[in-house]
Amino acid sequence: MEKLSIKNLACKRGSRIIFDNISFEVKSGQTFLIKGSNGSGKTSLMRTLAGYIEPHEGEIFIDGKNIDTSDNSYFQFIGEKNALKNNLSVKKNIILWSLLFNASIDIDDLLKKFDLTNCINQDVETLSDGQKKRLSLSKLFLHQKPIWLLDEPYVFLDEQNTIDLNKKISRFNLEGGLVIITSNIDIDFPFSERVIL
Amino acid sequence: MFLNLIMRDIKLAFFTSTSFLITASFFLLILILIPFIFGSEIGLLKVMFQGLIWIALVLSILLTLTRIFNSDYDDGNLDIIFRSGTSLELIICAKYIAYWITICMPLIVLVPFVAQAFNYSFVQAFPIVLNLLIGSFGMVFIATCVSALTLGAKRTTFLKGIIIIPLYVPFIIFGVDASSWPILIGLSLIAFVVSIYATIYSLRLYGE
Amino acid sequence: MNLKISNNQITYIRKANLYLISLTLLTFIIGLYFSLLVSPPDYIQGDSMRIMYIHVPSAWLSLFSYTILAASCVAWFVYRNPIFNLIAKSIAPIGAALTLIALVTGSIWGKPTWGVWWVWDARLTSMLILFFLYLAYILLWQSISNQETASKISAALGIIGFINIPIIKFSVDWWNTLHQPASISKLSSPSIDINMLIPLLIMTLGYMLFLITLFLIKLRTEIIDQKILRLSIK
Repeated sequence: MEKLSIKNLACKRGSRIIFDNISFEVKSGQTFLIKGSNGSGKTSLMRTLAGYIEPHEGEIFIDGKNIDTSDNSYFQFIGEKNALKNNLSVKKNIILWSLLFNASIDIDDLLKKFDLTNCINQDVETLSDGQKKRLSLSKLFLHQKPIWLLDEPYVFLDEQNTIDLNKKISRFNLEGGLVIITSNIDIDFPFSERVIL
Repeated sequence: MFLNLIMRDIKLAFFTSTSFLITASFFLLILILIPFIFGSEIGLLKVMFQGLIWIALVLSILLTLTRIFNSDYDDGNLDIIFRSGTSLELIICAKYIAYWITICMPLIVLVPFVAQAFNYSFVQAFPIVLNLLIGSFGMVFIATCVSALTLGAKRTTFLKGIIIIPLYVPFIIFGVDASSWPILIGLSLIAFVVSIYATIYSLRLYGE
Repeated sequence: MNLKISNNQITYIRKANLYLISLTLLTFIIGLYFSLLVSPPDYIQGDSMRIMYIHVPSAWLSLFSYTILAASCVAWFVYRNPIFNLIAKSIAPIGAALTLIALVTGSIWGKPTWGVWWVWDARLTSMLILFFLYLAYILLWQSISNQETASKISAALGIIGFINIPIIKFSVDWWNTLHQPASISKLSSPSIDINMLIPLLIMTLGYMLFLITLFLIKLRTEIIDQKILRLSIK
């Protein structure tokens, strides 16, 4: 795929407008940052793109083709909820994910990527928030999808891990992947464009 | 993918230490209470057994109801399930099957053997097992839809009981009567239709 | 929720209520006069059956309220107008109260008639389950913090409950005939005497007016609540 363009996207809940008139364009290999204060509709925008919320208005185009958000072959969404079972070990959690994503995973390889190898048998509830966040982000590699939607990925990550995550994003960009990130904090990363909601 | 969803739920149940052994033990322990309450007079036990297996089934369902949708909703796994490329109807059916296998199946397998201790022969126990088999499906349908309806609700442990028990009354009434299995089939079919619609409806609402 | 109800319409409800309250009181006074003083005592049960004039209308109207509740839930699904959910929400506690009145008076009536406060009679048992259906609806609405979601989810439960009512009625009746031969029937004569029917109908009318009055008060409060909620969100 070449580019993603969004035209006049709007979302309402009852009579309340969560966001409206959102239009932007991202080319593959780019990372797009959405900034905004709390409650400005960043997460709703991401969830709309990911297909959880039906857009009220507007269209989403991929390579000029109007796509239906219920098509799940484009977007990979990592949100605030980490999809982890707290009372299970890291390994068991990944086994459960592999069934949900219908993917065979090299668990050791995946954990090495996120520097979690030594907690493979630890229960998730004993992990730190940063470790949980990294484990949650590892879902990105369970599925090969061209677009990553990362909702507040930097929360709980320390400096080193932020750099690591940015490296992964850069590598994904180089492979032609497209990333959309929402964030409150200023991150040192060559984002292609920033939009403020 | 459908099979994956079922396998995933069963695995999850086993990982969280709800193996068949534990479900079956819980069931047995409730039945063990019968002679303690009513004495060991075998005629009375025989009558009580027929009723209390249903109570045990209802209790097992009530205690584990949150597993169907609520816990996956709270931690975000339901989001992944929604986007797994499976239609909602199939997701719900997978939930029915997985939940029935983890909770109801061990009880039903156990009943013919436990019934021996309450002076039933295998032949006599057959209609009980048949009713339990049909009724438990209907009960699982209802449990699934209640689990979906209460996704966004707070303080729901007792609320679920209040919602579910009135819906279970017909199943219990016909369940304890050996010859009513055709009515039970009817009830379970109604429960299936209602449950599918109500569950899809509330999952759509909460999915947003 | 997008309510299309003007403030004028809300004021009409309040004005109508003043008339309704006095009309209700009047009907109750007439009804009670007839039922307690004019109508003849039952030839078997004596004066104790006069509680019927309280019991029977509340039992009828508790079923009627649930029908309204379910009908407005269905109407919500058809027209997607949030007012229907507010109608259902407003009538639920009134219906629950009527069911409770029917249960309590039924039980008080049972004491002199059957010698016990409660028998597992099919009708009483069905009423008890109806009470819990109301309760489930009210509690489910209360336990969901997002009002809009709460209204939509409760609507589904309202309909599920309504589908369940005939099934419960059927199964409880069936259970009753299985476990107890039909030896107890409340109204000793199959056809009710005209002198009893008139006060019963007046009392039913009184209950109906009472139901409408309470319902309108509650509905008005709910509408105002929703309007305030919407203002505070914007």
